[in-house]
Amino acid sequence: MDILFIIQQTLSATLGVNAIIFALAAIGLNMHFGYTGLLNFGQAGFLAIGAYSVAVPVITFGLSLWLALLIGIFNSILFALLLGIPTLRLRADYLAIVTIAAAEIVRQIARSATFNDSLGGSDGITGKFGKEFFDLNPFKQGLTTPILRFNGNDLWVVITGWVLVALITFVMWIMVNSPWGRVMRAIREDEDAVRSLGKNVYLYKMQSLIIGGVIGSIAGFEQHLHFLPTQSSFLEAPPESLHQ
Amino acid sequence: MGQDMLLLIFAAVTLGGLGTANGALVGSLIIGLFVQLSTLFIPTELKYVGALIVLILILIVRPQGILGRKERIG
Repeated sequence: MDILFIIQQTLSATLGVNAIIFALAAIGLNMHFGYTGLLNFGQAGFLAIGAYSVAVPVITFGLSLWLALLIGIFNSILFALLLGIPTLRLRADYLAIVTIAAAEIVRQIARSATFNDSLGGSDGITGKFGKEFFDLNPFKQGLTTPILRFNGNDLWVVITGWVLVALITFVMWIMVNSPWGRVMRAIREDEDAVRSLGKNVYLYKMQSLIIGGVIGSIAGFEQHLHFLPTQSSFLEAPPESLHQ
Repeated sequence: MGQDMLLLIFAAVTLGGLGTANGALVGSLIIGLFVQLSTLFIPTELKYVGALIVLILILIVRPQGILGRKERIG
């Protein structure tokens, strides 16, 4: 048994892109459910929105990656507004139903044969992707040590990904320890008490939904850069693995 | 695992009004007919999507459902 190989595989999985994706998704969900008490079952929907709204502009319409990232953030804000406007004034279980329904809508539309041309159906989207991002890579030769190996592209995705996770965690820490974060936690504990103190609960919940959703869609962006085969900038098998 | 069915049931109950027995009946009839009849206009594989969009629209215009009692909304 090759112990070194097992250690190498374990370490690359621990530090790999999948861990980053789930970390970001969990940070976003923590904003929703952890701090504000919003019962969001559709975080995978935010990931799919982020992933598809980056892939479709780049591959189908040939826009630049940076513009596509902005479109992705904009779309996830829109998705959060769509979920929040009907439900945040109502009881908490309505948001749960609507988020799970909306995530299901996104999944069924994305995988349907009807939109095969633009969304790729259940095969996902294939094409040239992420050249702008990988051109910035200063570590083109990759990392080769006995216990940890990444090729050049993966190393760049992993480094930027963990920097992003650290940055977002830090910003979250600052936010939840601010007066704004105190209102969030108060909403989680007792919404009516916060309302009686004159805070606009609806607005605060909406802000929480949007911020968590944007973080979730950033996890969706990472999802893309993940499925690149060695030494090329092609995208393979995107987000349907989200819904297993 | 019956996920498609489960979401449709949620949609039906919400449409009829949470907490009303007759509402659940009315909501189920409407959702069931809508799912099957909507295939006249939209692709068959998207028929559940239509029902779920109806669920969201209902919550926008009439959050308490068809037969539900109006609650105080904050």
